[in-house]
Amino acid sequence: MAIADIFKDRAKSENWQLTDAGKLSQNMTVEADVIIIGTGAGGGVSAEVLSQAGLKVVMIEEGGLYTSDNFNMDELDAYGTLYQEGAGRATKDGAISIFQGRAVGGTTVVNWTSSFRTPTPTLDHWQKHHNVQGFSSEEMAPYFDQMEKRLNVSKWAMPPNANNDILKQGCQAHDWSWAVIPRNVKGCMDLGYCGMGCPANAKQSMLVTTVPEALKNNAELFYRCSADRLVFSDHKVDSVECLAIGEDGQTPTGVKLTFKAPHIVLSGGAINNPGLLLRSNAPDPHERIGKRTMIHPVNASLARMDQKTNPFYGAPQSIYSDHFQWQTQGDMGFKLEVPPMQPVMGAQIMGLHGFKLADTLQDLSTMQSTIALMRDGFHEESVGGTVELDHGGKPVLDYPITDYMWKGLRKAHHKMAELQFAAGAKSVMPLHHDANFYSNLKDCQQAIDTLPAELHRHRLLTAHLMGGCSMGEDAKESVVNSQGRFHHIDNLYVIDGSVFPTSIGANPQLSIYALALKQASALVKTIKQA
Amino acid sequence: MDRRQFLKLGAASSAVLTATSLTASLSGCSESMPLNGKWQVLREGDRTFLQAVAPVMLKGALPEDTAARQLGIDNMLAYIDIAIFNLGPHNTKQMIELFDLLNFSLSRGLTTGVWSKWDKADEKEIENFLNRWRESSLSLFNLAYNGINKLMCATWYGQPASWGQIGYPGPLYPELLITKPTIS
Repeated sequence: MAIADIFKDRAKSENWQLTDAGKLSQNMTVEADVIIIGTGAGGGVSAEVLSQAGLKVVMIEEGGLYTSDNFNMDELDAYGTLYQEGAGRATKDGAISIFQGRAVGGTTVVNWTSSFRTPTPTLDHWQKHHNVQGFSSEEMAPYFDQMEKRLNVSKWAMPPNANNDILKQGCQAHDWSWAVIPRNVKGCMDLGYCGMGCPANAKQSMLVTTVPEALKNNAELFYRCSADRLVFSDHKVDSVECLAIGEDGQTPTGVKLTFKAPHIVLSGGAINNPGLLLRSNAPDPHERIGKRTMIHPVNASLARMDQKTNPFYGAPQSIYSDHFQWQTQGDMGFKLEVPPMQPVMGAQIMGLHGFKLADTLQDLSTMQSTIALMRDGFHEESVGGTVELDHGGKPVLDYPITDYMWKGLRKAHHKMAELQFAAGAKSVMPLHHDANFYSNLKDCQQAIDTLPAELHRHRLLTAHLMGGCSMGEDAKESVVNSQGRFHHIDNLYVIDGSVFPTSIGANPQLSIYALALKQASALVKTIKQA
Repeated sequence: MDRRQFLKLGAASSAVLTATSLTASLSGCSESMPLNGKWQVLREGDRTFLQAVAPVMLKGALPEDTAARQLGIDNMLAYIDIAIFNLGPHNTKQMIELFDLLNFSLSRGLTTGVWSKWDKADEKEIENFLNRWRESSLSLFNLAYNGINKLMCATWYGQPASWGQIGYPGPLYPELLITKPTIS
């Protein structure tokens, strides 16, 4: 695009220190004041805060450095380069697809820009049930204020695209509450390709905000540098051992990098943080590492409309409904949103083949899709999944779906169908192997009630990975304390969404930004006082 | 074949699923990994399987024109190879085991109902196999179907050649892009 790529012009003028570890030919050791592993929402904000305080920061990133000049709105190129496991990551049994970023800037490079404050009931729940301190709405408000300003978060002022507008119409028809989604964009062109990296640098991801600020402040960035293990001695992390990854994004080159610093921050996200800790045999007397990993399980409902929707264009998410989020009468709560529908995303979610697939996709430009994001982690039958290591030392998430959750998913299918028919859908198909398009609500409801509650037949996915290193004051129940410090190691901090004791009940990026601002600011004080 | 026979076959084939792929590996029937050149993961037998199944999985979607169709399938194979490689070593190994199962004649016959070699199998047989795995009451087959289905859907509908049929005009302002898509 005719947009300056800041990793070209600013990198030169500000003399940024960028190293592609995959291109190194010999081992090296690097020392700093703070090592941050991961450059997504948690690591990016932490790097900005710590570097602004004058500390020497080193950022380590497993993924590649892709910038606005690389982003081309091509699904295959983007999924192959910007996502964990080429966008093919899934839960241990393969039943739930996981969309998680893997690049400088982490998932913030590919997310759909929805920016919600952590809901007050979630914060209250953490205090009441998980012994978390300092996270009341009042205590968090200044951090949300500051991050919203920093990342230009505001309610989307343009009209929603048709895909989102149908969500709004359906809510209005039922008198369900709905609202406009705040987005972290500046000069957004309303293209609709947020999931493939913003070619206009409009999305205020970590790639174009905090990571550049940290680099300006003399931080160093090592990318294609995979944190393999933490080496401990005397209740401290002594060093971080990393493997250089070659150009293919997968194969270690054989070069090893060792990083040493008095303070280590883990910001690798909800699967990779527990993975690193488990690989490193981190002390874990109560076996809490990797537990309570939350994912906002998502199911989806497809509607054929009788108007053009072009669900591949326009801000992907601009309307949401929390109508079924908190007043649930004991059922699992969920948020209603819509996904963008470019062809690859649209085709691979269907689970169809042959003429049925071709016929369905033929209507892509008149289709609407609604998704429900289930709020997991708030009920005794929803305690999340467990991260464990496979034979190769790679973290995998074992995530069971309980009866309580199946009941919630079924209810969500009902509400989505009701919404879509009320907004004028000609026919609706809940995404499940045993479902078809139904041309009236009654048939659709009957079908939903009989769809088998079976993994691999019920289409499920997630783009929100949370927990696995959950925070709290009780070391028997959590991995880090309320300041993010690892319970059993003095100089190890976890700052990102992996510390959330439950799911958020909203797209998590702003929750992570505010948490990181709070924790990293406190860490600056701790370091300066020492 | 009615649903009962179908399920019975499913149960029997599930039992042999692990055993036969193991046998295939141990007896040397498992083709070795491609050493170099164009392919990271897919071996000749795997490519033959994908070549045979793609036109059935995507029936009605792939172009009628022979050359355009072959180009589309060739592109799919190239992307499927990368996609499996990107899954990382552990998952790549599982995919290879699935391909072993599909390429070893006994396990292929028992689990898919296709007794001829993939390049000799007719469309009807392959369609039955896809339906069987998709509809099976055994989650392992559903899982395997989903894996192959997603790979094929993604790598066909990711190609601009597929977009006309589904009313997708492609990304806005393509002329402004610095990095052109790999397939354009």
